[in-house]
Amino acid sequence: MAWHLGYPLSQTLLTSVYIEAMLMPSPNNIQEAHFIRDPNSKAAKDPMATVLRAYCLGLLKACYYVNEHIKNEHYYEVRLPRGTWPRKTANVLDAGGRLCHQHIPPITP
Amino acid sequence: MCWMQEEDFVTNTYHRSLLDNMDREEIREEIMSARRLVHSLRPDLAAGVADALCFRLELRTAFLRAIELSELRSNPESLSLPWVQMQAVWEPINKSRNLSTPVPEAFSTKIQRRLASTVPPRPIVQPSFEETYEHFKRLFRDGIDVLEVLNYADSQSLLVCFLRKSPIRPRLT
Repeated sequence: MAWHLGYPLSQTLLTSVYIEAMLMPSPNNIQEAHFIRDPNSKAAKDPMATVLRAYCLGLLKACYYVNEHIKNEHYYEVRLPRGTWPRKTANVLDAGGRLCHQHIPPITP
Repeated sequence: MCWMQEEDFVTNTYHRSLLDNMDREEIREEIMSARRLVHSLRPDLAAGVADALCFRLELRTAFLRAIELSELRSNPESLSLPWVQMQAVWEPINKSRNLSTPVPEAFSTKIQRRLASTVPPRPIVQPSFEETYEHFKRLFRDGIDVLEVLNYADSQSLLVCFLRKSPIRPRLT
């Protein structure tokens, strides 16, 4: 959750020992994305490890998508100098209002 | 609205792949099979634990579904469904948190130092249960509300939406 608030992954999700074990070395397929090193160990047979792994997979994939959305700039901030828009509009945008890019009206001189 | 400004959002993944090349269908199937597993173990688990686990897995499925649907420009009603599901499981998730046991050793500052070796170590961020609860509650509410934007036919409605819902109050001089 703290990552959603703007904290880096190095201070949040990626500090989990389970997630680190899943991601390093980088898995090539879903079977490789696990944190059990010894398949014969007691931990490997614990069904809760399977549940935790599934949860982590979902969490990481969601994290990936959110990151991609931000990087692809589906959402971004618009700042325009005062005076180029009608006053109230300029105030909203100056204040850092975020607009979905499909909905930004054309800039009027 | 609960949107972060992109300059406030740290997209660095520290050379971790975050399952980039994995199919979300496979991941969804893993979550579904974990849910089936929990159902089959229900008689052996302490009261409430099976439900608590299932709700958490359901939240993950719904979150993935919400992201998947956001890539489509389809009917706003169908887009809101996973957000409504997340909202529905959020209360039981919050109520079942007393079943959990803190496992501080599941998180390591050593990893943190390895990930961001070029900057001074910073503490692991640990929001309280209450903060997390309120934040996600707001996130799910906003996820539903923002879809109303798709029904707007004019820019004036959009402007009113931002005036009313933006976390940053505009300076109306």
